[in-house]
Amino acid sequence: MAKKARVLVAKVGCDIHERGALTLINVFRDAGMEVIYTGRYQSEEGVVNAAVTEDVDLIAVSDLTGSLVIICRKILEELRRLEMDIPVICGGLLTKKDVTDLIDMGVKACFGTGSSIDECLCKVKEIVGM
Amino acid sequence: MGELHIPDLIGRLSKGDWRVLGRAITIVENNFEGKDQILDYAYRTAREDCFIIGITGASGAGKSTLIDKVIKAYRSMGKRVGVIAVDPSSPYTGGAVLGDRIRMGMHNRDMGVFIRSFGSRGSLGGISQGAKEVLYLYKSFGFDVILFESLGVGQAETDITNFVDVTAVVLAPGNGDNIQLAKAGTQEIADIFVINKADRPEAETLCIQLLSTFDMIPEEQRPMITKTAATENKGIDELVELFKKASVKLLPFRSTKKQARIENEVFIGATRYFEQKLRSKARTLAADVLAGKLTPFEAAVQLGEKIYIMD
Repeated sequence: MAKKARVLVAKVGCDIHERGALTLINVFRDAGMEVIYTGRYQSEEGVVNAAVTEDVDLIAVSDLTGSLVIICRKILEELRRLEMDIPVICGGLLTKKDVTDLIDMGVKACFGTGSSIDECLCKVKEIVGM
Repeated sequence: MGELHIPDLIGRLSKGDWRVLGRAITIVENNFEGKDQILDYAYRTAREDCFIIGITGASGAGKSTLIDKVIKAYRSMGKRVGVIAVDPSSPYTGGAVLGDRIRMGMHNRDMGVFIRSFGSRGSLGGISQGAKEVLYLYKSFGFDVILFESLGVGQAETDITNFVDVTAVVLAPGNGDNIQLAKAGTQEIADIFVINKADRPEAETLCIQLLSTFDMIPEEQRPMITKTAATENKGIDELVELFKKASVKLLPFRSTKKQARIENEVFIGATRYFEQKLRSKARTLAADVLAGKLTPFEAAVQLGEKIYIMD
């Protein structure tokens, strides 16, 4: 039997804008996935620890303060430090340069504000193997 | 980490590598290849001196916030804490929002705390078989205290009590059906009733109402009651004291619980083993039935008699 997909939705730092994250949490749940949300005001280290204990298939980072490059870089570094190879995607406030930088550093996909939910779900399903 | 060889995984577990504990839990929860080896190892190395607390209650009562504060209290005593948090899975999509750990966010960077979230995955009592089996992994890993959170009040199975040392039921004033819950089976399983959000005016009324439901119970068997206001961090030390008191009080029941638990595990394990064997045979026989060779009921008896070899 195939493993049930587990996704961690994460917000790091002082960004309070949860609407996008909460919407996608429900979308993923309705698609049959188990979704863990670590809540707001987390640290990159805390997010990665949670991803490891929860053995998730994907970390989905949400941020609307324009900090995704900084946050994802730290998350990827922490994953490397722990020798854990969990794919990361991100969504929120992104410039074109942000997207280039993020893909270069190893983030699998970026969804700027206004992205289609279907597109995002499709990509997530592809990554987690559904 | 990639695909891990099971003996390597067990080796790393025995050395206390928390990174593979998450993977081991996945294997056990999903019945993957290697589960039996892992569970055998966990059972043999399980510590008997870990303290397991079951925390149940309707959603909105504040269980997760309470657990967050209880974790903090045990951590300040230097105890290592393992948390199993169960949330309901959708019976339609199979998906689940596992949000308990939102309230435990302050512990994510503490290496002395390990939190894992589970969906109920169709289990009637609200706790999947997998989550119960994971308890062995936690006992083997060496946590001093294990907190088992579930949404289990008034549901079909109340057997969580056999898996934990102390069961606490959390209530919050203002939930209209509180006393119904207190009667419908939870009274039998609760060792401690925790009235959370005790800063609310209706808390005292709830306490009195709850006490009145104990009138029929002999005094020594009555559950303990305590009040907390988790968001204000009030009543937590008293609660931790009560946990200790309850564990002493319930010590004589430990072996009965263990008996019931082991019996359950052997039964479920055997049932699962049989189910696998029966599925494919049933499929073949179904083809015969559809071809008109026999009725489904004859097929069932035929199959049953073929595999029945017990005395």
